[in-house]
Amino acid sequence: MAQGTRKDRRFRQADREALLALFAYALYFIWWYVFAYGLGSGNPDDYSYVLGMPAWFFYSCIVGYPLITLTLWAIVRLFFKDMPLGEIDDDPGSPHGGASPSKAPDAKVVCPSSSVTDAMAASHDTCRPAPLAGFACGGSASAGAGEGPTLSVEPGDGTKGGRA
Amino acid sequence: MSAQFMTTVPVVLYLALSFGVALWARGRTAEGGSAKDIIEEYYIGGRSMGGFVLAMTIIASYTSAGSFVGGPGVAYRLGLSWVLLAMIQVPTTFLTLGVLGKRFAIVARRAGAVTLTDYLLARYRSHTVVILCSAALLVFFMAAMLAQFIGGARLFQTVTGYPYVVGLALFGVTVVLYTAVGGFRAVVVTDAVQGIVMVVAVVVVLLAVIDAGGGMTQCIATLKAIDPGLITPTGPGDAVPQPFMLSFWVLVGLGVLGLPQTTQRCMGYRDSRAMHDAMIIGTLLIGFMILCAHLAGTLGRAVLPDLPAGDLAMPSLIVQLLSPFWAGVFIAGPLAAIMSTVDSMLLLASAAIVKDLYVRYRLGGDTSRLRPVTMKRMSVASTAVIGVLVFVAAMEPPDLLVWINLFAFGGLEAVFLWPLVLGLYWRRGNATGAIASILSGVTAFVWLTIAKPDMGGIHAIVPTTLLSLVMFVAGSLAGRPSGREVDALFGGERS
Repeated sequence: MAQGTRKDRRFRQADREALLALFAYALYFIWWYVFAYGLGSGNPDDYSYVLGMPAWFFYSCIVGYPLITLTLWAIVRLFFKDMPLGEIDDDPGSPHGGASPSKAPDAKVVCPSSSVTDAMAASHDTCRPAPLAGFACGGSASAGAGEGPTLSVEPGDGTKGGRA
Repeated sequence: MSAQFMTTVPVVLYLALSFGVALWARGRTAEGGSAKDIIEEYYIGGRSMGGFVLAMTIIASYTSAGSFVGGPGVAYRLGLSWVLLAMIQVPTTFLTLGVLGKRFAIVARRAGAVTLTDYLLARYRSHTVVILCSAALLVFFMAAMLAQFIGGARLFQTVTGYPYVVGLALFGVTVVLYTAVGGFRAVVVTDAVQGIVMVVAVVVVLLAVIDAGGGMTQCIATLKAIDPGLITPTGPGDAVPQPFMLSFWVLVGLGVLGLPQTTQRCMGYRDSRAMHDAMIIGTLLIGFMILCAHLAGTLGRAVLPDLPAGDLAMPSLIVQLLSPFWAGVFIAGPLAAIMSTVDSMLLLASAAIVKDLYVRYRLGGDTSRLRPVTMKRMSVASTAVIGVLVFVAAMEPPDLLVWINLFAFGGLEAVFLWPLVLGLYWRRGNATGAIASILSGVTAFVWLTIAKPDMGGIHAIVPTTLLSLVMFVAGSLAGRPSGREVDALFGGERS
């Protein structure tokens, strides 16, 4: 099976979202910087005022922060996607953890039962294709199950599924 | 009834409320389960946080005594420039949640990680990394918690006039007790309550200050008359030069990604919707809180122009402007900020000892060798013991810990930032890189802070962050790749 080309599509979306967060951070920085030093660098005697505050302060701080909150709201609404956070597996009973991509109609983001341990898939049947939200995926239960084997430090723990 | 008594009433009520909430949260804890379930429950609340609680706990664990007393105190001396600087913290919540993001949440679940150390072990498979991180976390957290305790007790003393030890005992005992007994669930629920108290507190004091100063226009005019520098972005006598200001985009901006008490929250939310909501709510509230608190400090100069020290600004404003009862309500704000920082640190320090060190090295990582009851008792006991240690230390603060606290914030960032972020996004990163990054980062930060070489106003955290980045990359390229299992666990990429 072509495991080498398998890709958890949730990750691609997650990376895009992380970049968007950085983008919002950059926007906030630019707004903050341009207004603070653009309007505030002159002589205080020449300042103009808005609502009693120096204009540089009003725009960079008082306006800047609600503005970034709104921008963020728009970004999250438009570009962020709900996705399950636990493991998804369309054949939870299988000890081999069904490596084919999930065909669940509800799952917005398809992820192959990935590389976590077979043992985990076998011991826990909580992982079903979740309808959008990750809660149904039994976050805590499935996460806990992986702890023993996946956290072991021995380099050659060959029982792991995935790419072995 | 004396004013002193009236001020104490809301504080005591508030402490009782925190404790009640913690007990309530504890009642909702899932019972039974294996020792492993107990750990998941006690240290991360079974990953069940919704959006509002998640936002509040990130804010609360991040904002501390500094945000309410220290920061506004500096703003009192340096004017609007320090408010401008404080506003750099606005993106904290969305940056941590957004950048670590769902990748972190997914990977943490796959690896069953409850603490940052779990995550780092799963990523780097190196005991050296675990031990370095646990040690750094314990040392820096102890120092930081101590500083918080001292700050809180002093504040209580200034405002109520009761002795230092009384204040310390009051909230020290409360926070240690509810954290030890209730674990993560109690911590985050009280964090949410504490967040609300903080918001109310800052609004009350800001409005009181603006009112006492004769309105915003008048306040600003008074500040300008005292020193025109107070209303410029660079401060009086250019006390806040631009390079210094911009350094804070690293220290309290990007660097926040390296604070374990904040980032640990990013593995504990319930679902992706909780994360989306928290990014927005968190940004809205933290911005509001920081803006109000610091602006109150700045404008306070127009009301009480002649205080001998900035740190007195907030307590003095409260005592002079608010009625005793409202003064008590305000005091609850910083106390909330302090307790909510201490509780998360306490819990993580306990996790470092019980989970990261004891279970892993004494039991070989096999929690099934412990009975669930024993596991539970051990977790509670270790939290309580650490708390009591800090409490005792705060009565007679040892110089060493006070000194270490200078490095706590930047030190934690130096240790955790790159191993955490690059571990998540750069496949080639490995243990060699992480160790090189941690060691060089801490050394550089401590040395730069002590030796204070002239860097044109740039804060020590900037070169530290760059150096530890370079060392991480260099070390990773020199060392061996992490191997297939790590790729599989952190995967999602083509191999």
